[in-house]
Amino acid sequence: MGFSNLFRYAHGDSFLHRLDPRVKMLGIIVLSLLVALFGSLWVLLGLWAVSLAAHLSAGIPWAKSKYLFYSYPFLVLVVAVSQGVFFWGEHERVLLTIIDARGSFLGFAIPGVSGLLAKWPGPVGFYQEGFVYGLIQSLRAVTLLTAGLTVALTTHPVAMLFGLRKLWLPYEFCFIVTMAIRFLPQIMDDIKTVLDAQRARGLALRRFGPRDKLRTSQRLLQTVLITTLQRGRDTALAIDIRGFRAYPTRTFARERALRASDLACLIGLLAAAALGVWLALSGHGAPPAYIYR
Amino acid sequence: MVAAKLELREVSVTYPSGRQALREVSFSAEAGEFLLIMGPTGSGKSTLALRIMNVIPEVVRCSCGGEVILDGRDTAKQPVHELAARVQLILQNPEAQLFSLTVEDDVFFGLENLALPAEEVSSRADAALRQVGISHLRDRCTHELSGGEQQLTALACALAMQPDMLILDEPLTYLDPASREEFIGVLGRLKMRGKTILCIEHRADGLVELADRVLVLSEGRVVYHERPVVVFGHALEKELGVRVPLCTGAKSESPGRLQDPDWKGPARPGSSDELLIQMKGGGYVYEDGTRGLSAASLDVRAGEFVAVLGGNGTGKSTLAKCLTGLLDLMEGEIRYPWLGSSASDTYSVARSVGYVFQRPEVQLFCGSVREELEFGLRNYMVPKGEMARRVADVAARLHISELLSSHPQTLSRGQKRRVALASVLVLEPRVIILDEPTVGQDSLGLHGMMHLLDGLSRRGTAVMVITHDVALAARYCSRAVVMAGGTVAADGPLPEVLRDDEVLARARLGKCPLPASQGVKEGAG
Repeated sequence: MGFSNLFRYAHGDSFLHRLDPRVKMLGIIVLSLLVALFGSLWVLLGLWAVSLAAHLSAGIPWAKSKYLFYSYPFLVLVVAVSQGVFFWGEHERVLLTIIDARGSFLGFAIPGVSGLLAKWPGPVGFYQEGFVYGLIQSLRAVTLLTAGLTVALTTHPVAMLFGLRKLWLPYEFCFIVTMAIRFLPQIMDDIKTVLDAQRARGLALRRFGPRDKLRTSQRLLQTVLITTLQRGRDTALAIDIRGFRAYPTRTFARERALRASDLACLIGLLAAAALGVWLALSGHGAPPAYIYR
Repeated sequence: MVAAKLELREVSVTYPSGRQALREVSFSAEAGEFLLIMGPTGSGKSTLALRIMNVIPEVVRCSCGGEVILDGRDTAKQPVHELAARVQLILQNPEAQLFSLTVEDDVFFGLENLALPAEEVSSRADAALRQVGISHLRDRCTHELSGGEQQLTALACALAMQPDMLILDEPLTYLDPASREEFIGVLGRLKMRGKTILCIEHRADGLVELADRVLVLSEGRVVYHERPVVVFGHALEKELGVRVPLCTGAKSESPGRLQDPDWKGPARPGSSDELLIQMKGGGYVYEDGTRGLSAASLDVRAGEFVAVLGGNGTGKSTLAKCLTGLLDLMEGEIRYPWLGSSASDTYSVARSVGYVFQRPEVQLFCGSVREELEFGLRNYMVPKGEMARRVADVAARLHISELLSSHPQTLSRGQKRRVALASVLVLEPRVIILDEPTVGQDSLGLHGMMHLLDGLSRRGTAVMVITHDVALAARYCSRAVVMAGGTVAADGPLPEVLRDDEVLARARLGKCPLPASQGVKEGAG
């Protein structure tokens, strides 16, 4: 499973797969609002748990989910550790001194290096304020990443586009985007075939200089462009032959009204948003006070 | 179901470039008739289809003369989208005409454009998918379909519009024999239901049984318009390069060549003992988990003319890419004894194992045909004098000398195919692998190329032809390698392999169309 497949729709029949795309999009908006409103680690952990539960309930294949799970430790560690060191705020609670005033690194004096480090403007530490702030930010990121990816993987691109069309996008825009999604894999295949054709006639880029590489790229792009245009000409003919814009209006067979389950979710999401705003304004779920002193 | 009557009166079409594609073409097709349209490449067949549909001149601007009358009305007075409700045209390239993300969306598209109620859109789509036998593909992404599935989807899209007339432009090109049989079966059922069908094809095997009449075009003119038995009674292959069907399916037909125990395949000199490629237990799995090759073993010797047969998705192209070093085997091993043990990278292998891809248009990437032929030679640092000699020699042998300064993408498909082959031949490879040479080729172009390869193999080059076309293989190849499920299902003398029905079925090669004679028997059509 290549990385390019990560955001491709995963077929399924879960509750989330069946949920109207407009409701799912509202879900993302409400979740974004809640993670922005709350700074409490426990509340954010709860929101992340909700998004993770939704993801797991969708029955998405491991081949696609694994990238999400692999990203968790990376995101949390990179953001929390870097903020622990570089947090730009009040630093009082030192968890670990990395470079002290004498230039020692993690308490060890290194001959030849400590002298240089001592000239650093002030000691470098790992601070609790920064670490907690980093955890808050990384939890916000993983929660939205989990929810966004879950919606992308459980919503057919056509359903998503036509959901948006129902809200505000013109049909022509949806149609163009649909075609772009449709032909992107084809263009990628063409690129690969041209590269293969060049290799099959002895092109070995590692043997050539930058000028040859540039020339090769130009040839590749030229061929793919011509092939794409030729295919586009046939596609345009096929679209005409099937009566595109034959009448001022057209029907949309896929469109359907919101079902009871969609409406229930919609109401639940709006209630969650209202409750979240009320709680946040009442001072609940704020980040630890020492971070923003 | 209503059928349409078509009449063309002195129809001419001249493209803006000045090329006259149709010259005073007149004929008629009765309501419910199946008209098979044949002719060499560039004879005006596709232009004729576009003119009937009024795409020419409404969408593609051309200078036109004459009249196209559909059920008594001149189509010039009907816009394409209005005609679309009565006439449907399926273009040559199936993947370009499926532009939605799923099969269902593509079938819906035309019906939604007609502003039909959602329930009718859904029920018509159901019926069309059922009629073509692809209901199971309904939710599949169009870009994941095989060539045959794409072609059937394009047919379902057209049928959903419930047209009175169906025009098909080379609908069988990308289909393996089994899919071809299925597709022809669908056309047969449509004919039974009284649809008027105009079908353009280079290979008429199977279709000739359905055809009421055959129209043969050459240089934009109607040469023959008669019953199949009359038309194929002429020396079409010799006169016009039109491929005469090998099998008519007529009841009176004599037993096939395969039933003749004395038939030993084409006469060829014995192959040499020099081993050029040896693959043992080769396996390859693609990035998405699809197994392309599984425990495949075969030897290729100097002077062999091998047919690699098999349906769509049986691993033929993966095998070719592994043999040329474009894909590295994940299991098993491959050896090129004459190259030495150290040389196994693509650069070293490609000089001696040439690969002509199925789609020539993506194999040509230089600014001129000359540059295209010199590309490989430059990569291998061939001296200038030698390079000029090889380019001139190969260009002359493939009749492309006059095209050397042309841009490859401006050439016809047949010419592109010859340039692609030439660009490989200049390297003087010891093994040539040709992937589906029949695509877009008329009989003259195809057999010209095959004769050239035949000559090379007789001089010691190993030639491997990957094809669905069993009849073509039987005409030239002495050995057949049959691929099924990503592995070599059979490998041996061609007549023996083709007599194994079980292997043919596994490889989706269908019934083998190899009759005793090449003539068409009375009774067809």
